[in-house]
Amino acid sequence: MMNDIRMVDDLESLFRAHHGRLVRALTVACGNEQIAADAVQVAFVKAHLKWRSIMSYDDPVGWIRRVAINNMRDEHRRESRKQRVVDRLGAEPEAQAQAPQLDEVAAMLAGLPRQQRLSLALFYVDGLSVAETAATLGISEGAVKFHLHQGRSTLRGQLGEGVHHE
Amino acid sequence: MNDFDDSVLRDQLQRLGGHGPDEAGAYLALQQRVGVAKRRRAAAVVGGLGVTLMIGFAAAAYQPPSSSRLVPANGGGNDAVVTLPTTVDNADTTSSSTVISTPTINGNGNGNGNGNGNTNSDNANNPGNSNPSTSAPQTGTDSTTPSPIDVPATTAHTVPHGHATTSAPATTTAPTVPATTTPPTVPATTSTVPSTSSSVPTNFIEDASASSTGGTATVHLQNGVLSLVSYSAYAGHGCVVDPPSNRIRITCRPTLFNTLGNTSHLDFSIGLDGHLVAVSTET
Repeated sequence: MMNDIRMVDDLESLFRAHHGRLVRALTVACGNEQIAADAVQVAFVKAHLKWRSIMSYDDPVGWIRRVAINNMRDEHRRESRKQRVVDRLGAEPEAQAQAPQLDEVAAMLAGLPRQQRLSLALFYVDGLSVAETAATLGISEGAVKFHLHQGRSTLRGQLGEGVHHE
Repeated sequence: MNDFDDSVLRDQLQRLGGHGPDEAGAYLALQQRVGVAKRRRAAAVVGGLGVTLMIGFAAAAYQPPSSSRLVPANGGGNDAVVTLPTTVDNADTTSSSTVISTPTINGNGNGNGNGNGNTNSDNANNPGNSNPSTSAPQTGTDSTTPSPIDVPATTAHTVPHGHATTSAPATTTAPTVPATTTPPTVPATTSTVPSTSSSVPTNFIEDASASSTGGTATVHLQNGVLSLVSYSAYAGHGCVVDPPSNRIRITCRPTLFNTLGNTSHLDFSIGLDGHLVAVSTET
């Protein structure tokens, strides 16, 4: 009983420490806060159900992060299929209300490849190192550096001076 | 890390990520979803167990049709040898010794029934021996004087097969209805008086009742004598007692409409094991 309480306490402290940052990072990566929040919450639910084994991992947060990214990808695929159906039916896509400047950044991010978006989000928003980003995405550190370099160059080039003088 | 450190881009992206959700509310929602997931998992486990138990019970209750097939005791064949040990508890003798006799029905005449009537001297010298291979001394020359309780008078019956002989010890009371064998065919309805002992006495006392569509009858067996105790016909039927030599037959026919209904027979006889056998048939 005491172990269960301690386990729940561990998970709760983990949740409070990482949930917000992870949601923000995935929001940047996918451009939809609802999808990001849902993906992260599903990942924490899965972690809660099998916490006895996950807590013995070297990096439980990394496991949760990877599960959340996979959930986000699945949800993104579903949304893409739904969007294709909506486009075939000729309906207007849902408008997202954001600030003009953020909308511009979001539009530029949306034009980046998925791995670059994820690398930028995990590195700049979630605060991971290059090695942690590589481990989370399952790619090499050199690949992460490449994605970061390409992504930053693209954003700087499109935003121009506005980004540097913000 | 320093190569990619860009505070401006970091601020832009963090602002794009928003303020983040309410942690307390998000954790509450997490607890609720965990509860739902646990209930679903428990329901799935219970459902799986229930299905497994149902399948198990169904498999246990299922009997293939081939399992109810009747199989002859000796694996079939006309040359089956049936050996029944019979214990004679002679109530009229003063000795309490028991003579074991083995009436043997040998379908092809090649069995171990000692059908030639040779006397087994060992059994004659040891009256208390219950060797089931004892046969009736009739023509033996090396036999000693038998025990007073070992009455070896032999009654040889010819089994309907024509090849087998039966060596049965005589009892003090001559049976009016001698023991005989029943046909090997299984009748439509057969009720046999249950037996609880492995050794079957020949002078046991038994009552058996049987009923058919036309009436009921009760017979009594004592010391190998088969006698009819009572019989009664059902409404609209009439019964006739037809005692052949080795059995009692009660034939019941419908009296109101002779052309309608079936004629039923109740046959009581003594089986190979010495017990009463009641057979009800309809024609």
